[in-house]
Amino acid sequence: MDAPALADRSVLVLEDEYFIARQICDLLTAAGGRVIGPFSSVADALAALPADCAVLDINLHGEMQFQLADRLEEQGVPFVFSSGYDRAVLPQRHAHRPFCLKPMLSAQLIGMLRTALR
Amino acid sequence: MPKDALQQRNTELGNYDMSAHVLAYDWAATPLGPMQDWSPRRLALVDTVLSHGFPMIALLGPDLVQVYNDGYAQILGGKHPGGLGQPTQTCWPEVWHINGPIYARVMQGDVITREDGLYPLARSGQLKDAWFTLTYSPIRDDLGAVDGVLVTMIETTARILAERQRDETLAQLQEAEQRQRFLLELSDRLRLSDDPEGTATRMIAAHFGASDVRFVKDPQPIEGVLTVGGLQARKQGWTAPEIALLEQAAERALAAIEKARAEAALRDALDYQKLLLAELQHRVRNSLGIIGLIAERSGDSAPDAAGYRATFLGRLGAFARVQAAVTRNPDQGLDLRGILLDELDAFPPKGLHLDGKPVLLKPRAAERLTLAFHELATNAAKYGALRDEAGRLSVSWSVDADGLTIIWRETGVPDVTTPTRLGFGSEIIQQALAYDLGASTRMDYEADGLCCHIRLPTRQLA
Repeated sequence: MDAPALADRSVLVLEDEYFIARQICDLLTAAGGRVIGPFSSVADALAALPADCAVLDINLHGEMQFQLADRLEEQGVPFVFSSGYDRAVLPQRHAHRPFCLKPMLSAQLIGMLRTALR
Repeated sequence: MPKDALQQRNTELGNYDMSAHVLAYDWAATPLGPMQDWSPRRLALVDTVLSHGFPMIALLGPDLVQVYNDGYAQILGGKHPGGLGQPTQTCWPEVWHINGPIYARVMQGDVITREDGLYPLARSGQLKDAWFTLTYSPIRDDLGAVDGVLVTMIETTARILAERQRDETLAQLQEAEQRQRFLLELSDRLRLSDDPEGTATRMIAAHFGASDVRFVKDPQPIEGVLTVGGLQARKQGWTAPEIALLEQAAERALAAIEKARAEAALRDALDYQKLLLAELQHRVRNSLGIIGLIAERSGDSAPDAAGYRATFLGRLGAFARVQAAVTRNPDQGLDLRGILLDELDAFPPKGLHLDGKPVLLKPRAAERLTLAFHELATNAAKYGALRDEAGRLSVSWSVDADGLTIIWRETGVPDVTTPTRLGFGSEIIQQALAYDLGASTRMDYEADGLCCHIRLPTRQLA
């Protein structure tokens, strides 16, 4: 049998909805990933770095947040956006990033993370 | 004078209208004396004057007695024929201040020529400006002494008035053109401007040399400031054409400002609509995510399909109710008592006691609390105070500086058991409220029923 998709990889999760965060964490754990978080605030997430990759919600408590994405970009850490908004909300500098529309499917999210980590 | 001599004179003086007047005049009554005593030189001069094609007048002797020809008779207007034989000062008192000094110089031998000289003459009773190009020259007697003034002239009044009229028309045309040019430029610049109010203010101030130029909705009169429509401008001595032009400029500027405002409002409305659509999409997708989770987790404890169905639809109903409430009142916040009553609606009100002052929750807090109350209520109906007539439920709340405290207290429950595993309901209350709202919660299973404390931070209150 193949090794799990995210075996031994740490994945930081930023998501302000408890149940969605839990769902994401379950998906990641099932794929062999080691979850850092989940966090509902950018400050808490920044303090928990480093990570191998990340899943980032965009709208946190009513505000668009790209601070963590900018930091990860600087550090060359791959990440996937997850949002209920359309991809059009992404600023130009992050427009090329993988984008997972909520509600998300396991295969889709894990596939995107694997591609990003490659 | 004998008749034949008169005939002879008549021949000498030609056959002009004025010839007969001159011959018939009683010169003996004038300082010049009777005509037969006039020297041949004077007679020759008079002959020349009478036959001349230009208006001409000879002012003879020291008293400057007038003898003039047909052309000059027309210039005299109402003063002809009375002017013949009159001293010129008597005939023309209104211009003596001009002519007197000139005659004095000519009597000294000077020749004086004036082009388009202005003479306010009273030819038909009242003074009227008239212009003449004329030359004053000395008349000499046989001994060579200056003995009078000869004035030859053309009246140029008609030409001068025509020129004046033309200049005036030209000036009016230029002014109209300038006004039109200003209005056109104003319109052009207003059309292209992002800030028509600023553009109009600057252009009007510059064109009129005005200060304090501003557009006001309900202008109040201000000392020294001109108000035209919705425009005010300060300047000394506005002229009527300036005010008319300012009115036109104000009208154009106000139209442009109005148009810009309407366009901005439309742009804002479109932007807002886009924002609303994005928010709607976000909400719908998040809701779908949560509903998916409820569907999944409702299977945790369901004994069979019917049990699953009841649990799932109960939770979906609670979620739908609060969504409807949030959508109805997106900005006002949701009343805690109303949320509680909605979730406890299905249970007999007899044993229910709610106590607390009105408090409004933010939409997200209301949404999570609804799910939590739904779980508490269904649990109470299955195992706790809402199961039978003996049970009592009291929910009380209060707000202090740190936030809102809610106490859900069940009593009269005979066989209280602490659940051994974390169900969906407990997870919502103990974990989701903390994660999503920053709440702290405590579930105590006391001897006669459950006591649940929920503390929400102030930021979750509307």
